[in-house]
Amino acid sequence: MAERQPTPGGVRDPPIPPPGAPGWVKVFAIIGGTLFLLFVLLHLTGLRPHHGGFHDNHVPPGHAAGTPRP
Amino acid sequence: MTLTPGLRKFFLTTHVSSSGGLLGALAAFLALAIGGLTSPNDQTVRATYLAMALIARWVIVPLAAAALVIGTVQALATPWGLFRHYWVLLKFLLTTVATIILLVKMPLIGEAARLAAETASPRADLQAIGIQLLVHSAGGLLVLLVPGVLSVYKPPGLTRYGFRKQQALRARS
Repeated sequence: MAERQPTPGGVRDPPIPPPGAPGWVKVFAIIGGTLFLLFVLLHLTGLRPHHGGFHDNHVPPGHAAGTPRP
Repeated sequence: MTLTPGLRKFFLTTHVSSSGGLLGALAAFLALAIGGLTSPNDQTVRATYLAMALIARWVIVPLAAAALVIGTVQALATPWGLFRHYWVLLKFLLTTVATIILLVKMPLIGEAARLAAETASPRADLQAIGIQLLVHSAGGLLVLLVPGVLSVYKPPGLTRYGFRKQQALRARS
């Protein structure tokens, strides 16, 4: 961290501490972090809607009951 | 790196145009997603998902890339910097995350267009994908509205890096 120039008396001013994050950044971080975690969780746990082109209860042709599998 | 005033205005115009265009294209995508889910007509549904794929590939992705790249160059080439102010950093993070999610979802959009083109009754098959596209486009639109608000209001707040740079500049002058 850059320090201030010494005063004529030879005494250095104490370094200015960096400011903390403003309140609006903290609010953004909490909301954004929660939404992002929710997004990742939903995708990792497979809770997203199924999209395979067929419905879950749909049996593709050739896979119906009684039909031998290849 | 610094830009001449003429070049800076060119980058600013391109950045504002691409960001505004991206919001408009996403709004059109959202309208199509709603239409694809609610329309009772198979032909309308088919046309909707084909149009969504075209808009996503040829309008939304290029505009998102342009907004991200030009915005980054602009930040790095001006005294604002990319990591000095929280509002610039947040804009960069939001646009980056939104662009990555968009690219991850592109195969799904292509799959929807393929199903719409090949399936006899697309409405039933596209219900699940349609809901997902609707949720993501609405979320993306909301997320990308935030950078616009941040650009206008420029809320104060220096990062630690920005603070150190400011102190160094003061010490030098």
